[in-house]
Amino acid sequence: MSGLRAQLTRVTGDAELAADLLQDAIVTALQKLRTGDIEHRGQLDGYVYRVALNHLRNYRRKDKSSVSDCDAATEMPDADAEARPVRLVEGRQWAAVARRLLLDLPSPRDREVLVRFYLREEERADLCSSLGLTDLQFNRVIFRARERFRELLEQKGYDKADFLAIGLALLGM
Amino acid sequence: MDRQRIDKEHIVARYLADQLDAVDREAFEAHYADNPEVVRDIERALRLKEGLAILQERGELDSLIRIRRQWSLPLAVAAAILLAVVGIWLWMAPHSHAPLAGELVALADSSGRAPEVRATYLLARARGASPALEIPLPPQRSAIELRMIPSARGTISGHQVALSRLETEKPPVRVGRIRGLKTGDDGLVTAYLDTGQLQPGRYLIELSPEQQDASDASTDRFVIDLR
Repeated sequence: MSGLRAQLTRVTGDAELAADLLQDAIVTALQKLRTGDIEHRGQLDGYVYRVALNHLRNYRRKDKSSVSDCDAATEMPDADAEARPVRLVEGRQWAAVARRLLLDLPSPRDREVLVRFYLREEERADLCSSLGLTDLQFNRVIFRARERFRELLEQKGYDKADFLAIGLALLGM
Repeated sequence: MDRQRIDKEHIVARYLADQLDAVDREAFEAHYADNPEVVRDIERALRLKEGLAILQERGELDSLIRIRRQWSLPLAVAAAILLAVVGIWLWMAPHSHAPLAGELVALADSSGRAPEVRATYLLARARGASPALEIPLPPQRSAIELRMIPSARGTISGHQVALSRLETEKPPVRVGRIRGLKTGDDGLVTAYLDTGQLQPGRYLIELSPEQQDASDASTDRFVIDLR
């Protein structure tokens, strides 16, 4: 869940708020498990992600709606300062893997596709139109990049799961 | 929602970017609730996003996107060399044909021009030992037409002609061979020598039927001296 935590921290710009949101998602999931709304333990992680990412989405939507407010924008917390603890631990490793991935991609165009799709979150149709790509070309770039990133994470040992269900199993819950 | 659609439509990345409509979003959430491997994909995508974001913060991202692979230059050089070699080979190929041909056009140079026939010789088998036929080599490249009377008669699908260089106390060295030669209306088999590709010296010309079971007796042998 470290990727989830990092994303929460980045979007909220507040490591404590991110931790709270994640904890809320975990508590909610555990309550659902007790009440039987979650049928089995294997669904816990999915539920935590679902709740946390809904928090994230709501936060982003709220954040977007307030961008036009200049006063609010200036009062936003320093995202870099707040998120730094997360980045120092695991983010540095992921950045190294992402760098390796970019270097492994054969062309500047493929790297641009990856960055604009994953980081800048541009729509696929817009990207294809802007870069003159067919759907097939786009799919090939993204699929290969995704597979390569997974391979690199595994090679480096950075793909280990830190999921809730596994943790609970280890604790005998 | 199934795995194929998730992969094909990049549902994970689009879900994280809030690009799915409500129906697809709910369908995807219902799917990954029961599929831990999809949750792993989500986690991986989040790590990729974070890794890229950190590179951007460090100011590395733009240069990483634009960078050319370090081996692109050596590769380009290797490709250029390979291209040149292939080009030279293709260009040279027409020049390196055999010195013997069944048709004059087969001796054409790279510009498609066939050499001029400077002399025609009739070769016929004679009883007993025959002296070598002396053929003067012209100073410039040209063709010598050889018209041969085959000893083999009957239903012969085709003839073959072999050209070998003869040197004293050494076995003959084959320098050319052609197959599929037909007997002309005049009963002769015609072949051409390219003087540009032959050195002065003694040569053996062997004319025989193409059939594998052709006997040695059906082979006509002519010796020529190119001077």
